Amino acid sequence: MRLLKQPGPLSPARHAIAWGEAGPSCRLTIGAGEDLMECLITALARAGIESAGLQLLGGVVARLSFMTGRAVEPGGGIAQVATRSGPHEIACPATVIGGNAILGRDGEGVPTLHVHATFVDASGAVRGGHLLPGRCIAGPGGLRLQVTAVEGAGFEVGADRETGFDIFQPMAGS
Amino acid sequence: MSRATGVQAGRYGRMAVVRLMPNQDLIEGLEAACRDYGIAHGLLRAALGSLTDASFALGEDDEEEAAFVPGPGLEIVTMTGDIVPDQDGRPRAALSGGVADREGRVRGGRFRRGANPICITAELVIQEWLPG
Repeated sequence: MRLLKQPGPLSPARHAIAWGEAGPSCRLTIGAGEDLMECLITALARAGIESAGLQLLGGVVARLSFMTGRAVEPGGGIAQVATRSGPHEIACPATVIGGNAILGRDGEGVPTLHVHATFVDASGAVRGGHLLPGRCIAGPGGLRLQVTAVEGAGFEVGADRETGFDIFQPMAGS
Repeated sequence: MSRATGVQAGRYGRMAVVRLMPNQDLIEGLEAACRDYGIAHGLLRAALGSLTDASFALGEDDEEEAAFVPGPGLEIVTMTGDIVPDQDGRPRAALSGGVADREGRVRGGRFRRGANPICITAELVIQEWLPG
């Protein structure tokens, strides 16, 4: 198993947790022509959900591009072991195979989503990556999601010294 | 219905919001977290992250590698699974899913134990399952 030298000091704890209770679960449909992430943020806020795990159950997208990860080139001036690549545009309509999302908060307390998903594109190729706001538009029939709300805990974006990324960290009391 | 088919009654319990740090195996890291936090049975409600490299098996045989995807920075684009105690009561995770390489091409299967190092992070929302 290949291990990488991270740019920052090793965190002594190798996992972190926050415990919460299950909140009111719900199912959502993102209507045709709507952007997945923008619509989710609005719909979940209206439902009073601040923290949740989401599963993408199915549907079709009419337009989609996403980011992927790649190694940092030597001498590239980036103090991280990996960075983003893209955006990659895929041939649509594309059909959902699956995906997961987490609703948390950024460092300012504003709701934010982290979404990874996979699709079959119009040519039959299976593609996927890290989704971006404004770049995943629901197609005819919309996109269906299951939402498991969490109360009393959640993810909040924070600086991670070990990896050099600002990433979701478990927080109690969300 | 065969004898191998079973129904386990139970109910859902607490929610755990979990992060696994880099340079540890996805499955072994999750099991260590479950052991430390007292999660005996659990279900993944959402899971995202990235791997340095990915190694998949098909079926139940963990020895045979069905696919190897070199990274780093492979995005976990879908993942599902559960945590169940083994006969000694230790939490054991079974995880399936897919990863995307730098071009967005996806390969998948069942994640092999000890062969899927976390690259940057793994973020998981786990719900306890309380049998009985």
